[in-house]
Amino acid sequence: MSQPELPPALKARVLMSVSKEPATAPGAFVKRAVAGAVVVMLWLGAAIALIGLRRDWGELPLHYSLGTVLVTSASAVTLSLLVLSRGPDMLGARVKTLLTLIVVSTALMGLWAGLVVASGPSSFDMGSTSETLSKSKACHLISTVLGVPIVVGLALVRRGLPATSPVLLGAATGGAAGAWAHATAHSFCPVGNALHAVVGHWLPMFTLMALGALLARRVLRG
Amino acid sequence: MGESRALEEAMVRYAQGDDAAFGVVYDLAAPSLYGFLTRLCRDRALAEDLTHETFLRIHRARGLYRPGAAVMPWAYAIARRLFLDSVRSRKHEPVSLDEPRGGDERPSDPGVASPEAGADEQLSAMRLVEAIERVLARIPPLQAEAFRLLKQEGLSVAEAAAVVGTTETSLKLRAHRAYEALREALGESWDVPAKVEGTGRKRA
Repeated sequence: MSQPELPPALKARVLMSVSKEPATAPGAFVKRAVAGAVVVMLWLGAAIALIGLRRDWGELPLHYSLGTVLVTSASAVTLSLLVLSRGPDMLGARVKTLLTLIVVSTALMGLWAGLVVASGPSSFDMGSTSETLSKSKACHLISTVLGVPIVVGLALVRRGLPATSPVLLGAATGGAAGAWAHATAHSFCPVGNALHAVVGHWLPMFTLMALGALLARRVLRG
Repeated sequence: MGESRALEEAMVRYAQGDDAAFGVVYDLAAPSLYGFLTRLCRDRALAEDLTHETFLRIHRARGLYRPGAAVMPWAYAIARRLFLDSVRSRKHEPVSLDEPRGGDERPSDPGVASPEAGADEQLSAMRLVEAIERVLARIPPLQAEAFRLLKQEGLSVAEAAAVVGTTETSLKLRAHRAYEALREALGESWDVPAKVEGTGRKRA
């Protein structure tokens, strides 16, 4: 295939600009990812330290605690790795993969929250449905606040790289943040109630996904 | 050694801090990239500016490069995004990837005759190229874009789908529709490939 002839002066122009323009240092991506992971862990650890573990933490059935931590962490790790993947051509995960994993992780988290966490031990009486909704706002807010720095952190690790679909990648970023927040909230939230689990801990995933998608339009465009 | 492999190796050296390797990256990537942008913009000055900016972005992201990753789809994705941004910022109407702009345009080149070909053959090839360009300017931009990435830039279906941010199935459908439009418009003079999957030109 023939190509239009390159302007002879273009190379000199590009080389001149490149010599003046700062660039990311060798190995910057891995360093960013490690720094991001450390900051996220410190942030979530600080939140647990600040709020404290639920009072009956030591008495919870092992399968309940372990299962919740495993499901939420698995979703969080999977979505985080998906976001940080550079793919075979620096464009990140493919559209179909992004869609599939976002849907599967979100559905899994929703099912776990609605079915398993709901039937778990509760040391807090939520009262009527309207009271439950009202009291769940606190957990919704805490989960969202916990997730926001994670969304921003993941986006910053990946900034400067284009994506196959910035909006979907942003949604995956929000999903990852929501899953990390959910995993963390399990350690301090003493409520075993389906409505609370959904409103307080699952729905923030969608708030964070929307935030991630909005942020991605600016940060994850390469 | 294939050109794409040489490009990846040069990019690895550049990402690891070897500044001299950038010249090799430029030499291997610039012709295809500039050709892609020229066909997209129909404006050589704009194509030159966007090629320049694309290399600057690759330079800024050098430390983010994953060894072994294909470079051209990455470059095409940056270039495409820059082009779309330039279209939006200049508020062109309608937003068409194939809208002719001014006389400094060059038609696409599938079917361009070799230098050894006779004058008649060259003339008919030029006419075919012009006819293809007219069809590409008429069909929906997304279909024309799929055709260009597969047939003119030689990307695989997976790479082209990643560049435009869609699924492989959707990209194949768009390309198929472009082929159908070309076949309808050009009849027998257009040699339609039997399968879209087989249209990716492998860089030698």
